[in-house]
Formats: sequence, C-alpha cells, structure tokens
Amino acid sequence: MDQQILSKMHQLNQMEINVGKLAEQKSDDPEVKRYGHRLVRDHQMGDRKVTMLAKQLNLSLMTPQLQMPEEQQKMQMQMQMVDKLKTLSGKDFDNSFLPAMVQGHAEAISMLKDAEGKLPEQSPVRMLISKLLPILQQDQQLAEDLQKQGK
Amino acid sequence: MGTYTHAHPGLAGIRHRPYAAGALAGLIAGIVMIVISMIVAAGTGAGATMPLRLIAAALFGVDALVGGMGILLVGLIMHLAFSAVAGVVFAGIVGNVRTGVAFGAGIVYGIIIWAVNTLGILPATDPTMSARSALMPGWWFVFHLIYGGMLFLVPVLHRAPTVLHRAPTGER
Repeated sequence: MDQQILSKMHQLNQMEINVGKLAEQKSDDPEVKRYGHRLVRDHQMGDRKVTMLAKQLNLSLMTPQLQMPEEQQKMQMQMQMVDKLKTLSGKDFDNSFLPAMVQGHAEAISMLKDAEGKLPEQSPVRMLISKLLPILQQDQQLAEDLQKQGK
Repeated sequence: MGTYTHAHPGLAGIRHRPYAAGALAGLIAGIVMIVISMIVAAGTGAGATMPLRLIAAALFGVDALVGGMGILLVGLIMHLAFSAVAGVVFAGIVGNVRTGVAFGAGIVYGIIIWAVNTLGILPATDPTMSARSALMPGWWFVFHLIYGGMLFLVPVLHRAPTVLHRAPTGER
C-alpha cells in the first residue's frame, strides 16, 4: 500500500511541476506566473520528500495501478487538461488553468486524506502526508483566490 | 580630541539608554537571521524570498506567497520590527552582563522564542508559515538559535560608547 500511495504522490507531483512550468511560460499575469513558480517549487520539494522516503523504505516508484474506473477516468481527464493547457496562452490560459488547479488540488487532497485514514498512525507515509496536506491546501486556496480576483 | 565622541553621537546616546542597545542588537540579529534563512530557502529550493513571504502571510494570508515587491517589503519590515522589540525585551531581562553570559542567555532566549512561535503564536496567527516551517524543523530551530546567539551584542553595544568616549579623550 505504501508503494502505491507514494507512486501516486510522485505522479501527482510530476504533473503539477509540468503544469506549473506551463503557467510560468504561458500566462501573462505576474501573479499567475508566480503561482506557477510556487507550484513548481512546492511539488519539487514534495517530490524530493516522497522519493527520499521511498528510498528509505526500499520501495521503487512505479506508474500507479488505477483499479477503479473513476480513477482511470480522472487520470484521462487530467491528461486531456494538460494537453489543452499546452495549446493556450495569456488570459485564455488563466481561465482554464486556475479552475483546473482548484479542482485538481481538491481531488489530490481528497485522495491523500483517504490514504491517510487507511494508514496506521505511526506509518512514515502517513506522517509525510500529514506534512504535505497543508501545502496542497494552501496551493488550492491560492488558485481559488486568484480566480476570485478575476485573474 | 573630544571630537571622537562627537563623531559617534548615536552610539554615545546608547550608553544612557540600555534599551536602545537591545533594539540595535535585535535589529542586527534579525538581519543576520533573515539573510541566513533566505540563503537556506534558496538552497532548499523554496526560493530566497520565501521567508519574507511567510512573515507577510501573517497579514495577507496565503496570498503573500504570490505577491509582488510590496509583500516582500512588508515581510521585511515586520521581521525587523519583531527582532528589535525582542532585542529590547532581552536587554530588559539580562541587563548589562558579560558578553559570554549574554550569549548563553541569548541562546536560551532564542529557544524560548522558537517554542512560543512554533507551539503558540504561528499556528494561531500565521498558519501558512506554521505549515511550511514544519517541513524544515531543524533549520527553523537553528534560525532562532542564530537570532538568540547574536544577542551577545546587547552588552557589547551597551559598553561600546563608554569605551569610545573614554579612551581617546582620557576623561575620568
């Protein structure tokens, strides 16, 4: 179970790093660019902690197996969203990027909370999730705030 | 030769106002602390401006993480103001002790500030900083030790004007 969760976290981090880099390049708004930069840095830091823990636990990170049809569907939608964002720029980019970040982070938070609840209290993976969850919540809040400000 | 004293009117004033030495020492300690924390933040990938943003987050919430230069300036001013006030409080507690004693007391004071910040003030007033400092607990502790240790400057600055005043003029 640890391997599956860490692999999901790793995949999520990689996706957010890529999307954050897109925002730095494609948005015209300085705050949205800075948000993209923040995403890159937060998820690079998160990913370092995930890969370090995987190494400590002697686990290899793999492509997570998506058993539920909803999980597969979500993953497919996320890939489509990234492909769509690659084609946009300026305000059009922001209009798709920010709602996607609000929703994407909500799903990631829900997935991690679910995993946290299933893990034993002393599990190092659970402890890592507890530390990273507030960061994800801050990134979600930021996307919401930027959206409200009409970015 | 009395001009030596006149060349340092600000320092000469500190002799009569021990709390001014505390404020100045606190300010210097705060500058050292923030510079080191910015270097560490840059080195760990969080970004050099992160410490200033996290301080400003006490006023602006999570939005401080993407704010412009104004946010950084507010963060810097807040940090220096807290640093100076904490220096004044320290000067009031320890008074004019030996430098080594001030250093030891400063370390203890830094640990107390760290504990009060981590367990009480930050979770209530700046959850953004609270969550992110938890990701680097070792460094977070060290930054407070650096601030506290630098307060050895309180007695040094308190005595400095007396030395400057006496030696060249031969007064008293």
